[in-house]
Amino acid sequence: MSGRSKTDLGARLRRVLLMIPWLLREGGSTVADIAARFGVEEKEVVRDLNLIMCCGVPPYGGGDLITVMLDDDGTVEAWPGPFFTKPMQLTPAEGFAVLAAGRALQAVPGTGQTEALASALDKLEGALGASGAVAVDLESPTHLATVQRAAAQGERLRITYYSFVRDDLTDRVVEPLVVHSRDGRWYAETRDVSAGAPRERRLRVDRIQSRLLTGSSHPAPIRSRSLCRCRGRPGGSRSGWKWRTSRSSPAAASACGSTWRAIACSNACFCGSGPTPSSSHRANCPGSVGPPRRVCSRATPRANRSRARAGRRPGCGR
Amino acid sequence: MAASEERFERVTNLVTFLLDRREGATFAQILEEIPGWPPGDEARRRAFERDKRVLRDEGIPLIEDKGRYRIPPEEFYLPHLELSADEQVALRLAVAAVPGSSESGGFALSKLFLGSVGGADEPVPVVAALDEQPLLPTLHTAIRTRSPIRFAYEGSDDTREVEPALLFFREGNWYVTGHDRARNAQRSFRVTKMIGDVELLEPGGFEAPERPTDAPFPRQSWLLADETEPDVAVVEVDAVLAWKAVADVGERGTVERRDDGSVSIRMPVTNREAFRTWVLGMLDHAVIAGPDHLRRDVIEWLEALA
Repeated sequence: MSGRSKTDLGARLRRVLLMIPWLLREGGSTVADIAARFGVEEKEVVRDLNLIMCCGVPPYGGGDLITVMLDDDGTVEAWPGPFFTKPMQLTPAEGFAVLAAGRALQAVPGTGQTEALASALDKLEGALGASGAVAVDLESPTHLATVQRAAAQGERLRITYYSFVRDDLTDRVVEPLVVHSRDGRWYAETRDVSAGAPRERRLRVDRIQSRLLTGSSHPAPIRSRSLCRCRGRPGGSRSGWKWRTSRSSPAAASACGSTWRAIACSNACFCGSGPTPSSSHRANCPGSVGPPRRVCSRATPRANRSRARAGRRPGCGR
Repeated sequence: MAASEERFERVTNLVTFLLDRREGATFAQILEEIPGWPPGDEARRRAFERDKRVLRDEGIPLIEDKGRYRIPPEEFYLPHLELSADEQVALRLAVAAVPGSSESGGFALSKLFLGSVGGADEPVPVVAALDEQPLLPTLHTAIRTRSPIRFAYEGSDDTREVEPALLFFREGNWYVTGHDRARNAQRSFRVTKMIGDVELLEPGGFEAPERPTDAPFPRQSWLLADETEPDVAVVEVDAVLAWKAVADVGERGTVERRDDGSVSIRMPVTNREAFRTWVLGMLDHAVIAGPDHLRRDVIEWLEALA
């Protein structure tokens, strides 16, 4: 791939400035693991590492370089140099993105108010230099809590709903699957089982005039893949997640589609690709206690060999 | 070595060199100490300009002062936030549940936790999506650095100069609230109504403000200050939507209920445009009973559309 654009250079710089502190913290890794972790091909990793070995400060002697060793078997080792021992400060866009996401989640009635999130955002704002500078209000329509509960517990609702298209009030029986806010409005993705074949319907929660929990549950999950953003690759190198499908929320389970399995977690779901059930997923639910599990263990133990420090390698520029 | 590799090495060395030299370096010193420049003065100058742009695009704090360049380490590195395991999980969940369309959140997480690029490994359904405006990070920076902002605003004849204190999301819109210098009062501005670029004035240009702990303005959009005298409108809503109108108005009006399920609502209005939108949103179910000039306002607006 020749003729990299400026943007590629920026992306590569960003990657390398992250890869170095990560390598230093880990002490080492493998080319394959780095490639998977940073989402690039292995040959790209090798190119990055070769350049890292060349970087430092004048006069580019051994002690002024970042020390990285790359073995033929793909093992990588790194020793702290004078630079890049820590990641870079967040850019304005990055800092704002996390803050806005956190404040928005806090504003979600019923689920968002965890102490951990509040204190994490306080720390982040402290580091960015202004506290209380971002606020989000996601209003709470009258029946939001009921619809959220019905979605979480798989219950049917009998509702009177104002349909803007028909410009009238109608009675319906729906199974709420997922409740979400978009541009300041709350929506419920539902399965409408009022009459005939069930239909998927998006309802505006503020247009529900009255509701009644029917007490009956809906057992069969349906396909709503679009509701869940499944990232990563099933069967990839990150198959350390081991989830099972929770019976308590078919909505969450179905949202992940057939490729993934999910567990319910308030109104969020986590998907994993591992076949074995595990209880450790609870650690990742908001409000739960205990540390999160390491997602990915290092694939290969480091080769036991002497740590000869690499000086400037042949092939570096100039 | 390929030109792109040479350039990448040069840019990375530029970062380490300027981080290392606390006192900074001139362009001539940079040329002398860092290898990999193209031949010719003009080409070198252009290459340096391009390199600077890459650094700035990536958010690297390259400071230029009297012909010397430096990268202050205290601004370059992320301070250690000492996030507990629970706090890390909370932030990851937040970014996954409110992802936004850009990758910024994921990049931020990968820096914070030194993890993979892209953030959360586990998929999470989107719980909320906020309107995203490209100006928001800039406005946030202005608040953080206490830089007054100058901007043109829709419907405003003069350029506004504001000491920003808060970014606030409500009813699908982002607002920036702060002290308007010319009006000597707190004002809120809808970010989508800011025209063109926002100019950041001198950092530290005002004292850190007391941030409002309550929302700076009411939820009901027809009460957003339009700098007009408030009207008291009377709106009649039939049984189909009476319940919704009452919920919308909340405590900001008085309701008279009738046996047929319809209601008559008396409510203050300071923003006619928002009021009109609200009433028309109820189609034939709502009628403005008074005052006359508000009725006429809506009728004229509808006639202008026809």
